[in-house]
Amino acid sequence: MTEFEKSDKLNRMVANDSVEKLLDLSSEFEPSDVMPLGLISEALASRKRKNKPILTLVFVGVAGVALCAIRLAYFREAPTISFPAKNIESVNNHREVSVISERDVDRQYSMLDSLSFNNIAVKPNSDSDAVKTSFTSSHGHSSKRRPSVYVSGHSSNSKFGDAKIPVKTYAAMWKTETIEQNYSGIIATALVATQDEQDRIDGTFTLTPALIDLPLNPGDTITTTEETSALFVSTLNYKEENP
Amino acid sequence: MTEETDLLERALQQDERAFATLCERHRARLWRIVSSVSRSSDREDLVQESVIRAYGALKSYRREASFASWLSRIAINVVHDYQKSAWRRRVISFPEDWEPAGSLENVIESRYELIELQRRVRREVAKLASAQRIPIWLHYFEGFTFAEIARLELTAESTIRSRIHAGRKILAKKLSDFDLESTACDDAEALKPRSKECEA
Repeated sequence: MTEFEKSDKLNRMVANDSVEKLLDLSSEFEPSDVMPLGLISEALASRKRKNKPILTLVFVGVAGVALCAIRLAYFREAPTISFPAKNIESVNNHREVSVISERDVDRQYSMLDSLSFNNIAVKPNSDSDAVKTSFTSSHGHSSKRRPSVYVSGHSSNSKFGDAKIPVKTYAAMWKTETIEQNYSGIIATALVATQDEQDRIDGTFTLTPALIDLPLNPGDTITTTEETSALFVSTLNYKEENP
Repeated sequence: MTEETDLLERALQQDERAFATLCERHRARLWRIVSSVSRSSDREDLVQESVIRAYGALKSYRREASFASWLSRIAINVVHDYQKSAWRRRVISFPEDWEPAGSLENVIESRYELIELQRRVRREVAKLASAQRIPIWLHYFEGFTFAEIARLELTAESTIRSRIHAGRKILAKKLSDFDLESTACDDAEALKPRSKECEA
């Protein structure tokens, strides 16, 4: 049947009220069976049952929030939930390894703050002496004590919540830097005597206070006299190096 | 105050028993509406869904229209949603795309085929948009007058007439596989005892 024929047929159907005939014919429809008894009462009863879990959930939520508020108000203590997986320190004796294995950056920072690095015994590998660790500062909370942390983000699927939304986790790693300290000399305050051309004629010296670095050789000795409390260093070569 | 008005007053005050009694009075109408589109046990779910929806929307009931038309309208909307739901398409248990073999004379050879024809037409009406679906269903299938439907829809009678006319055009397109031109009214008389056209 062509499009024109279809359209023509539709027009004739509407004009002849064929649809109305069909509608009238369909108005006589009666189902072969009757509606079961008690269906309406059951529906109204099930409506209550459907609401019950929601009400329970709402009640539990409100009660939880109220408990948290009470605890905060009276004990000034934020309620915490501890998961067994977080309790790594008790499981793993190697604290450094525990820190590295944690994949939560915030958690790492909190752990780093809680750890005293002076107490960490970083045992160098007996096979290699390459690793040397020393944290010279032993007092106060200094940023120098915190190892440099490199954070690189990559997404991974979370096991909880909406699986469609990838939750960003972070793999953190840091390196332990070697700090070496060498005593190369003594820095001391001194009066430096200088003499210009005019002074040389007059025979006078100009004294100016300054910090001088006195390099020490392996054989040099440091002695102090009680009277002057001055520092005398047997550095005969000082004048030679700084004429 | 009639008994139905009294029940309605109590139902509007969230009296569940009064509401259930009211719905029981229109149970045949509800069952007929849902049976138009389904033959399985879904019908019971559809009736229950209609009742729950009606109870939830009881506050929105305006007394301009009758409770029967208001309840029927909710049931028609439930049936419409059911028609569109993917769930229904999965559990369908009878041939959906039933088409007549030829003219209406051939179609209405048995009572079974007449019922299939009626179901098919009702399903097509249930698929229409709300503006056409409610007036056509209430007028042709439930016997409500234009004035009553206009009160229910809060619109003019002329609007209802024009909506019905527009709906008939859409139905003509959907039911174009029926060859009704050659069908005389008397041919279907044996199977269609109370046809309005023939009575007229």
